[in-house]
Amino acid sequence: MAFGLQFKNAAADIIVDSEFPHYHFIGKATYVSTMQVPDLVDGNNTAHSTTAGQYLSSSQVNGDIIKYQVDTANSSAPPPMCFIKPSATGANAPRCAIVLTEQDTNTTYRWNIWVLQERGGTHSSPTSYTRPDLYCFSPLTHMTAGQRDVGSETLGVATFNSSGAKTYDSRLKPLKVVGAGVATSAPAVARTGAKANSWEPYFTVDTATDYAFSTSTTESNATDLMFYAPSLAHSCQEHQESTDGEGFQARGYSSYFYAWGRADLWYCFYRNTFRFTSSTNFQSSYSIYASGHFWKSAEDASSIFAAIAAAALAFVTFGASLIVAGAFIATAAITAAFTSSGTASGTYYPYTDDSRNRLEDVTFLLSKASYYD
Amino acid sequence: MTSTVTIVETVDRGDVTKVVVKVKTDEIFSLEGERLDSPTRASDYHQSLHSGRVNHNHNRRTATDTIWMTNPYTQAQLDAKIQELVVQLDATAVGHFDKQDAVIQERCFIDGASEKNFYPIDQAPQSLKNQLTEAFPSVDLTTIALLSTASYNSVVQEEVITAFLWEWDVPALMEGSAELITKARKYCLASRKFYDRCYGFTTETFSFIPSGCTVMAKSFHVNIQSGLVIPTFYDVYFSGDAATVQAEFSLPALEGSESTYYGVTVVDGEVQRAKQYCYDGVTVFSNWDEAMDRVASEHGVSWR
Repeated sequence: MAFGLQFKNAAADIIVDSEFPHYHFIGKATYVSTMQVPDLVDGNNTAHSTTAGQYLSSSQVNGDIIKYQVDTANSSAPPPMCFIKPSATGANAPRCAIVLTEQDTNTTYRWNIWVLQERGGTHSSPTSYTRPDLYCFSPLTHMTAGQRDVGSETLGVATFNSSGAKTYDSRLKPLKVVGAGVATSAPAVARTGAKANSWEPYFTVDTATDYAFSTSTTESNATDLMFYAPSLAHSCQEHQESTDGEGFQARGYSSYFYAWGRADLWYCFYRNTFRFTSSTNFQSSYSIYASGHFWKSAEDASSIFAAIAAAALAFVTFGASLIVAGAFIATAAITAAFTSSGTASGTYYPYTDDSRNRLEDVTFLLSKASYYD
Repeated sequence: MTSTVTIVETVDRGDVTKVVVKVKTDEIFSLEGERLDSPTRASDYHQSLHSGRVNHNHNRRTATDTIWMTNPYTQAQLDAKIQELVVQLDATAVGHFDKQDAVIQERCFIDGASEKNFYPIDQAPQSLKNQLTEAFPSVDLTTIALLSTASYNSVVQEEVITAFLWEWDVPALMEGSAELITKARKYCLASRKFYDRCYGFTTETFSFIPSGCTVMAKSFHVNIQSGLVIPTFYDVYFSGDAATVQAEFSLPALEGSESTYYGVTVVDGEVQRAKQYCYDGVTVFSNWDEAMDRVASEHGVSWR
């Protein structure tokens, strides 16, 4: 270091470096709206196929996607670091995570941030939890004039880099990280238990991985903590049913044989979400992002042989159900529902029962909301 | 019943093992809805069911599920999870195969093509109810008596779901000082606004209605929500000879096996679209004449 200034703590960790673009508090993100990915339920029935279970399971409760916005000074600003201050902590607190950070297409210095937070209750009677707060940080050079305004405060420490740009200003609430950890793996999938439950499969999350952490300050109050952790892992799980039958329909001289088959696919797409279960434990798990139920029925009564063949065709694969899904999504009403909610349309069924990115290390940073309130 | 378990796939992923399981029920045999032991297909008894033309069914159910076991695991632990599936499948009953089709109260064909069906709310497809509540989250389905499928309204220029509310199922329904036959709420799915259509008595004559037809009602609109822009239009409802109406409005030969009625939508004095209301059985809507008589009597007016 030919010139410049560094502050170090007792352990020789560099706390402030004049060449480093330190992050400063730019405010709480503004809440915009809350939506859910539209439910996808569709299928057909034939003259004799069962009509059981033509709905989403009560356990398929899509989480809230809570939309926020925050401004930076210009379009070249890096994405803001957003710490989630959960609305609750503990073993029953709602899990949440940031699932999208993007520049607004209309206002390039504005950032759209989506937080996925699980909902409670049942599909037909869901309950939303109080939304979390987002505490946002950005390098000083990308803060707006308003965010850089120190008011009448004249005391403090500021550093400048070799280009003369201010990189640190103690008056602007620099980011203070009080703890960190690495969540080395998300659970294998969201639910490991069997999902069969009549025509109401269980999709309730039953897995979680705990990561103990310590903070540089004595932190006995978990409700003051907030975390920064990217949601990398996701999981897609499903339950399949096939029903079939053949029979004899009495109708005088027009009596006939028939055979039918129906294939059902229920699924949930989960994203990795987090919560503080205590002031020393960070938990990684999943929350439902989207879900659906599609079914396809086929029947033939032209001959018993054709009937059996038709029935077999219906459940060879679930491709048929997904064709139904595709057609359903293309309908004007459901397309409008996606448009209205501000989400891209799709089945959100990217792969069969499994997960992705679960072994990616997720470094979580901890800070305290009270520093910035 | 003892279901059959098949392990389709076992994949060791290191820390976990993925086990794909298929559980299939025994055949569930029923005779006129009553569950009985499955007969041998070639048995005289089974053959007699065919020769005697007796309704019977051979049904099966199969569930395919993926179970994730944390390594290491024991066979007993896996068996316990599989047993959860087996219990569910073993509980499959004849009733699960009962077909409970929704009863369509009315089929309405718009310009001979676009079909709109009306259901009692308790029989409406869940997907339809979801479609409505997705667009209108505050809608209370318990207030709705009858619900239609969505259909494109070329005048309003968007998909519309129609609902008849319980609160309008009262004698001598009024809208202000206007005596109504009935009323319907029109939910516009794209704009997420609604308006109400009132079906009133009319003594007007309409040049576009073929001679010999009986005009029954004329509509007007109220409660148009702020922000919803719709042109000024009305509908005229009438009965008449099917062939005459079909020829006049270039409609296909669509008729209900029980009854058929008609409507036209009029914008700036011109017929914009024609509708055929087809009833294949006796339903709440199937006899407009009778309904008109009843409602006219309630209001103390004459409509014919």
